[in-house]
Amino acid sequence: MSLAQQTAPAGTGVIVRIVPAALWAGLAIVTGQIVFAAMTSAQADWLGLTLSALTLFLGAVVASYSSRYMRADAAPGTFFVRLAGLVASVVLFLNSQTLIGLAVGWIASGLLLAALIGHKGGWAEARAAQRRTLRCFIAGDMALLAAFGLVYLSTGTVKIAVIGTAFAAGAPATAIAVSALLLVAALTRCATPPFAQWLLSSMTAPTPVSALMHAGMVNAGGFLLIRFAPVIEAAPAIRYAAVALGFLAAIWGIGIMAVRPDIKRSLAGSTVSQMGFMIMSCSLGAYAAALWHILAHGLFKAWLFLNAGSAVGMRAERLPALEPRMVVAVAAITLVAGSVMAASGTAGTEMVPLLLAIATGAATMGTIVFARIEIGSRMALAGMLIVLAVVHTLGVGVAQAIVPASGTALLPAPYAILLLAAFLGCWVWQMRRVARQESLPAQLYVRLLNLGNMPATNAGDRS
Amino acid sequence: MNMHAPLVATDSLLTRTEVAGLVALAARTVPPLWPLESAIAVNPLAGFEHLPFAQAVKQAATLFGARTSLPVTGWRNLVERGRIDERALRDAAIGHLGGVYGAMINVAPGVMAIDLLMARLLEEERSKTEDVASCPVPDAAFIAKWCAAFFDQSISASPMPNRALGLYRAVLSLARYDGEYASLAGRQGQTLLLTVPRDPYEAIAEGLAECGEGREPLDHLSSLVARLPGWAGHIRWRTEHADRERVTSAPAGMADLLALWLLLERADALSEPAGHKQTTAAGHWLARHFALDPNRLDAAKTERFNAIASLDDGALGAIFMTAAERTLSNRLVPKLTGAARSAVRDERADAQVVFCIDVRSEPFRRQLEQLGHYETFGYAGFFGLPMALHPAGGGHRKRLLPVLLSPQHDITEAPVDGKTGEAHQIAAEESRAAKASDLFDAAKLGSGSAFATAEATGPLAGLAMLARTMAPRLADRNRNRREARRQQSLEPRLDCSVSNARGNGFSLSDKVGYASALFRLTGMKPDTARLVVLAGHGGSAVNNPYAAALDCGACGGHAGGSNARVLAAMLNDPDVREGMAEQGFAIPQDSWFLAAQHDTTTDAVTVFDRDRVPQSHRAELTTLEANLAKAGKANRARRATLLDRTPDDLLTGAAHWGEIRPEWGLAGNAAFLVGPRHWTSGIDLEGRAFLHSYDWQQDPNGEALTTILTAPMVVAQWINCQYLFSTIDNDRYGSGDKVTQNVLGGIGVVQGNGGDLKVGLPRQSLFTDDGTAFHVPQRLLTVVLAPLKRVQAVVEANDILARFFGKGWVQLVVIDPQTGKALRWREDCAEPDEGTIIHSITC
Amino acid sequence: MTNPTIGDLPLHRLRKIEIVIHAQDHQLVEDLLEASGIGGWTMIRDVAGMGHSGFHQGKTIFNDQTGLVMFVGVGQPKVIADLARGLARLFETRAGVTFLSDVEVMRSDYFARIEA
Repeated sequence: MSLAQQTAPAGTGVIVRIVPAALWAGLAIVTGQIVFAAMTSAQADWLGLTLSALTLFLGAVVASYSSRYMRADAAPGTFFVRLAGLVASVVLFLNSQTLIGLAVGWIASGLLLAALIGHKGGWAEARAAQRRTLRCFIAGDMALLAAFGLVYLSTGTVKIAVIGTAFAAGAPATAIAVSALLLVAALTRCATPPFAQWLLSSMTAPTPVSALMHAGMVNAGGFLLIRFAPVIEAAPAIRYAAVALGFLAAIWGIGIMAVRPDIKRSLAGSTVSQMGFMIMSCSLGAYAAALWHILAHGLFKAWLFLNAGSAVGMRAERLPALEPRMVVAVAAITLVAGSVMAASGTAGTEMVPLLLAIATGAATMGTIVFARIEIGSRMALAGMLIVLAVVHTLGVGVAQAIVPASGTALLPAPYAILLLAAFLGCWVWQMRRVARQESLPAQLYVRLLNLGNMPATNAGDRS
Repeated sequence: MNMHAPLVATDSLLTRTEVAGLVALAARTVPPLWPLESAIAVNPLAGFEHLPFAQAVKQAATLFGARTSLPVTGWRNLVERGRIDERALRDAAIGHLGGVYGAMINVAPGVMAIDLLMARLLEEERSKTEDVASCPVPDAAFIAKWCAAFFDQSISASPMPNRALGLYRAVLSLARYDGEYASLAGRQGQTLLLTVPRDPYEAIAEGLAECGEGREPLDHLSSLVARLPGWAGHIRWRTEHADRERVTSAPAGMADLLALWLLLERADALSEPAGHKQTTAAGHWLARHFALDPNRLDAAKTERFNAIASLDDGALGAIFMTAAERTLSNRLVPKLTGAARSAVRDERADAQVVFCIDVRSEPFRRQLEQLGHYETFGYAGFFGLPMALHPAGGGHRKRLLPVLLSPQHDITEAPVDGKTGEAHQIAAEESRAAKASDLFDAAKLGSGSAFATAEATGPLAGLAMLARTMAPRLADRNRNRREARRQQSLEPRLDCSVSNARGNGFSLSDKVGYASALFRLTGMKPDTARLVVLAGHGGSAVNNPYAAALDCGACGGHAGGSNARVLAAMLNDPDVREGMAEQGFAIPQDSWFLAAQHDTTTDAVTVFDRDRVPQSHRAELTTLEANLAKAGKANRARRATLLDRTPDDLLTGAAHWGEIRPEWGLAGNAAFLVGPRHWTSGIDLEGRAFLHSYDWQQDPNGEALTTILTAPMVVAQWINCQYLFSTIDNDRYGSGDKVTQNVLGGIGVVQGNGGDLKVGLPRQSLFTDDGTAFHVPQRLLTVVLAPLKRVQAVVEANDILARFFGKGWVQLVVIDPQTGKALRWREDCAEPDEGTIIHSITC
Repeated sequence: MTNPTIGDLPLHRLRKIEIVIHAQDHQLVEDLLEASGIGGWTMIRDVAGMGHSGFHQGKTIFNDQTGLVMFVGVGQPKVIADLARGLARLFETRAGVTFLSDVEVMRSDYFARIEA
């Protein structure tokens, strides 16, 4: 039949089929390891294994998705090889027990991700986004290498397991320098301001790459902070800085998400925010909360990205779905509860994430209860919410089994309450604005809208 | 009032209304661009249709910075694959050289002009041109950014400030905070923000006076409109085709957009319009290839040599396109002339099925016809009903009609009799789902709730991903079941349509009119079969911004089932039948009309309202349904080879969220055939033809033909031109690679980080995986089986037809039913040409 | 000059504009009418007639964009004059005719100018 298409070169076809299969197989192996380790209570690197499982799962889903989505790509072979390489390098640094392996995997993953952002190489915008990403990653990689160099010089070992104990007793100045460098490396991958631009201008990447990037790659920063927690705990000043930067990123990212008219950069804003929150939780010492956030957010964001083609359709009106008065009431009660916890001395490192989760559930439940829909529907929604709450609680429980539930607490309780109040205050302000259909102040709006725009290029002509 | 002294002398300014007139004309440079939720195919060159085709393509290319043709390498691929006959190409080349004499003339000893030209067409060395997305220049990026923020209809939670002021004034109020404006427009730009008139028309008048020296104001404005054709097209949609209540909160007209452009122009911030580089240094290659020395040719030969050597890609492409058109007409027209006097089978058919004229109906009809004595018809898929539907449970009013018409009837979707309980349950489920999704949206946005929302829903998202990736059909089954239940419990009700404010339902005389129009236009005889199925169609695609582009164009980019149900209900109504009988359309008592919907992605056909079918007809319905399923299976197998996949994989693709090309849509469309089915039923049209049933014997004064040519054919021409231009320049006239598209505002897509709203179709809808054009760019060939005189009268009485056929936008061939002779309509001022098997006529 | 009356019913002098244009171009005229600030207008679809280029058919049944349409508007002389200037721009490239005439109306407030 003359209309039938020709098939792609055989080699490419093989790669396209092998990569998803290999990633699913990798996932099966890691899952097997986890199950084995859990059943035999054997010694295992739980952090590395869990995050590897997440990365392989996302990689496998993305690869299977891409075998349809990228079917008409000009270079599918290159795409799938890079994709596989990216997942492999992430798995390498997650499981590496030495600084060398970690650094190699870390740097390779950055290079491969940048290459995938510029996958459509004939497109000037894609090349510019790739360069911007590379510049940011190279800065981060330099910081990482410098940190590792310092660690090696001061401890004489490249084994990650023993570094922590060495540092707990070490000189504070070295700890501060190493922690600062590690933080820079982490922030570049987490796209936390001032390193957010690369992520916000990475929409030149094919959709599945974005999914993997926002769900799998940005977590590297969080992993680094948890892995080197003992070192960073020896440098409280750096932890304060990280809490502040994380908080700002959490709020700033929400602002970006709120103003974006396009689905992909709106999701990127959300990632900036979520990663900020995760960095903040980490630095507060709430490692389990941070780890659970990494795992769940990865799944959440990958799903939203892969589903980004469904965003077509116009909404009739934009009424707030969360009742503003409900949010005010819940915020107030949460603050009181937090203060009681603080006063009674039961506030741990995880107080802020925990109370925010409870407040979210309460505000949603309140809105459902008073919603103007049938009682049956309200009960069904309430049931769904309860299921979500249970899942969340279980998840945090699993995370607590994996990493020390809490490190050294950083903030004295009153300051933690202040931090909580800052989140809740922004939330109340935000919901009231939405309810009144008010825009953001003009200056702030323009600022947020312009984030991630490419510097002016005169690339209108085509090669 | 403007407090500052005007920067330009006021006496030279155009008045507001003069500006309004010019702006309205300049707006016609681009066609309206429909939001993707109801994607409508339009000709991106609609604003140039008053020009001859070739000239229009050239002018538009200059204005939009687009290509004039598929790259030569792309054309050669099509020749190699046999999609274009090499002989037809030679004929077209001969035609280009002015006929056999001009072609055979020697340019050098032993080298004829045709040799040179064929060498350029097929052999000249070409670097492989890659189709590459363009990047917005800073000035266009600035305006596109603000258009995106302003026109967003769904994604941002925090709207652009000052939208109520209108686009122009809102941007003026924000630009002073915009660092990008500052770097673009400099200090002069900041001054202008304070001094320019706040009224866009006055601002345009000032801008034209200041920057327009020596330029025709209309050309000036048109060139500005063409800089962002997507956003300009969106503005045209809003002002001309959107329901008012959806756009009043953020008013914007073309004047707003032009005032912004002129603001930048006054600040000296406009970039040079992007041009398309043409490589035309073929002389050396030709000389080398034929081992001749151009300097030693005499003057006449040099001229001939240079004429061929200097042909640009546009001119070469035009020859290829002519060849593609001839390839089709050489294969098709002789078969059609041969079948012109084919006889009708007189006995009553087992069943009759009326399909949409869509090119995807024809192969399905062929399969069905082979399974029994089934008679099929082609009719516009909105079944002649100019209606809008208000879906149950709220949601936007759907305009289920071609955009050439405005809705005359507003119909409400309501419970089927006796299914109120189920309908109620569906409504409850839908409102629950809507509430849940609202809650999710609000929670993931709040600075107190965003984090816990991600954490709590993440695991579910993981399961959903697994299901949708590994077991997509299972994951999609629920949605399909819900859809099926919805179709069984809810229907578009003819009797409760007056309840809405817009209001008018169908009067009895309306119903009789619409019901008999089916017979008048298609030539269907009133002695109908015992079962008559009216089959609308829709596609099924998951997670696909272009899903609506697979739906029925005649139903305004929606599935056509509702229209079919309404018309079937009318035709079963005894009062309507009585009224029709009075008009000479007496339908047999034992005829039952049924509505159905053909899913063009899976080739499944859903029959609606089965339980209303009289007991006496049940057995026949069962047989028919079995045969519809069989036909569907056969057609799916046929389409699978075209998609290079297994038939079963098409079903998976229809449900898979990663499927980038669920079906080929209308790719390949090339012909529009007007005549009875028995004329075309023996010919395999390969899914490339729109088929409109027509019987010249029942249309003595040409009214039906006029309607067919001025409405369904116009829609077909829009579709044809959309596919044609999206293919020849997928970046400018199409929407580029789907994998880097970014849905914007719920209304359309941009590429990557931003830029113009994309128009046309994505690359994956037009090109195969290896980059060859699946859709061969060629103009529509309309073939009418009717006496020449009647066709001529219809064409001459309708400007639009005279323009389409006369300016070469559509090629018309008339086949005389009595003699079986084919005559081609000659374009205005075209030479009678050789090398074609069809005689020419002029008007 | 006194205003005309019918018996004791006072009338107001205004100007009337009538525009006949191809249906496909109707939006051009609508844009212009809106920009002019005229208080309102009447649109008559499906007009047929004889002109320079022969007989013009009414619209065909499935296409509102075929045939001719006619607009009728009444307003202050200044508004109508402005409108005519704008139309002159349109008619440089589009076919169509315009008639201007004096009219008397009963309720002048009905035809007040809408400020843009």
